[in-house]
Amino acid sequence: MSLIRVNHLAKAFKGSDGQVNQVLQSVSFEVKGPTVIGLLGPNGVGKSVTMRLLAALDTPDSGSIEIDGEPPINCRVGYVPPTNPVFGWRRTKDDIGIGMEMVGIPRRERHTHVAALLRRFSIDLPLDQRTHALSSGQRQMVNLARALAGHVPPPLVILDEPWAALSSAVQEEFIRHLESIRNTMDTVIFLSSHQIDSAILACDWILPLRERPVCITQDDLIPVNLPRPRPTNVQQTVEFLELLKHIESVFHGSAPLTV
Amino acid sequence: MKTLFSPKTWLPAAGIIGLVLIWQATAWFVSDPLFLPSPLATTRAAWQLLAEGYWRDLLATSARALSAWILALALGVPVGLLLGLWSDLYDSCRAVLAFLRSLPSYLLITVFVVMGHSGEIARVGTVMLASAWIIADECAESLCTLPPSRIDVLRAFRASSWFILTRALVFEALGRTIIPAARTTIGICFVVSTVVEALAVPTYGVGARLLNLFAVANMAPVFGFLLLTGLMGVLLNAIVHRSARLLIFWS
Repeated sequence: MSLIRVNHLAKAFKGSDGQVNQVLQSVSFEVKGPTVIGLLGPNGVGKSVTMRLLAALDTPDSGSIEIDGEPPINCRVGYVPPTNPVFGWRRTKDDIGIGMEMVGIPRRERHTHVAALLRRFSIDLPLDQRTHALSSGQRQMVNLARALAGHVPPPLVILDEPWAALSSAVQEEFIRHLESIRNTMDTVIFLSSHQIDSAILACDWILPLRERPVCITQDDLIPVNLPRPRPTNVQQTVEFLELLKHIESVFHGSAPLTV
Repeated sequence: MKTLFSPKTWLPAAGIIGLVLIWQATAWFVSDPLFLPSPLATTRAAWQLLAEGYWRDLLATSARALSAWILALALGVPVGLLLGLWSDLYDSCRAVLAFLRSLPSYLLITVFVVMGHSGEIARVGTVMLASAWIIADECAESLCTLPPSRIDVLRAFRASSWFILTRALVFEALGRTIIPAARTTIGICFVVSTVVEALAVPTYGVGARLLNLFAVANMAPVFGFLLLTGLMGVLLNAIVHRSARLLIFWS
């Protein structure tokens, strides 16, 4: 079971005027996989900073992160940046399999694995097409599949603003895929968003980042106690609406979020 | 939508037709035909030049420019990658690159001649150096300003620097450098080729033929020469740009 432990994480950046901008003051929490955690907050509050620290793409000023007892730099992390990037010169099957190529898995084996992975989660992608020609929805599916591909699933997958560029139909499809991944893989998935309703649909926990500098403890994690798989009419249920209202009240007074 | 009868189809031709009409009107009403030949007289002179074998000169210059451009890519892209990857090295080389970019490169023919190469090596080498530094500089700059997202994906996988370089950075650099640089540098190569041919005269070449034109008594062959050379430049530019778009399809 994947275990992510974050202890008193702090991060500041120096602005061009020399002023220190404290983004994270103290972030502490612990989560066990399989689960989906949504970092919810207005633009610029520090969601991406937290995500990058979790992926060990940046180093914290103080505090620590452990993934199954190891520092994140020792772990392979599936990371999807907000810009929805693909390796456009590659075919879909080679783009998704790039992480396996890195560890020396032969080409044919990679292709077989990628095809099996997509079948498993009912993701429909043109495997032989170059990824630069794919639609933004298909590109995001490539990103998701690439983050997961490998003989051993990564203990941590980070999706930074995964549906920022997606239409609502593709977003729904993406959330359905996330649900089936969450139900079958022992992985902790972090995603960031500023859409409360989509985050509730996709996540088991909501981590609200209200304002800078961010202070978070275990008690700030909001559980999403809605049945899995989510019923189609879940957004009309009293539980969903109450949770929505509760999260809105948490953000009361901070920058507006979208519903 | 672009159809056969839509204005968008015909708009690019409008400028050319307009220029030819103004040229024709000026040739009829204002100027002496000896100094400003009509478009028709120029076309006849151009046809005459082709019949006399000027096509060989055009092809020779184009081949020289194209081979120099390919060599410039072969030199400029690796140098640019190296500089782009080590920003300290790039910062220390910026002044040198600025100097090399600003140097009228056809002057380098003297270096080749003094070194004992006055033939094709000198000509192609000089033309290559005209654009290699531009390509290197553009390539380094593009890497320095590269959005890190694809690199971050691989870094999160804990990929080695070599893997990131060979599977992402090289392609990123090609995609961000070749297409924009192709348009400017192939033009530079074509122009410098003609200048170099006038300095180190080969058997065939636009620059070599230039010297013959100083002896002609009227402007029609000169205009024909300019027309054909310009058209060849446009054609070369289009071929290189299309080929680059096909090869670097992800750009």
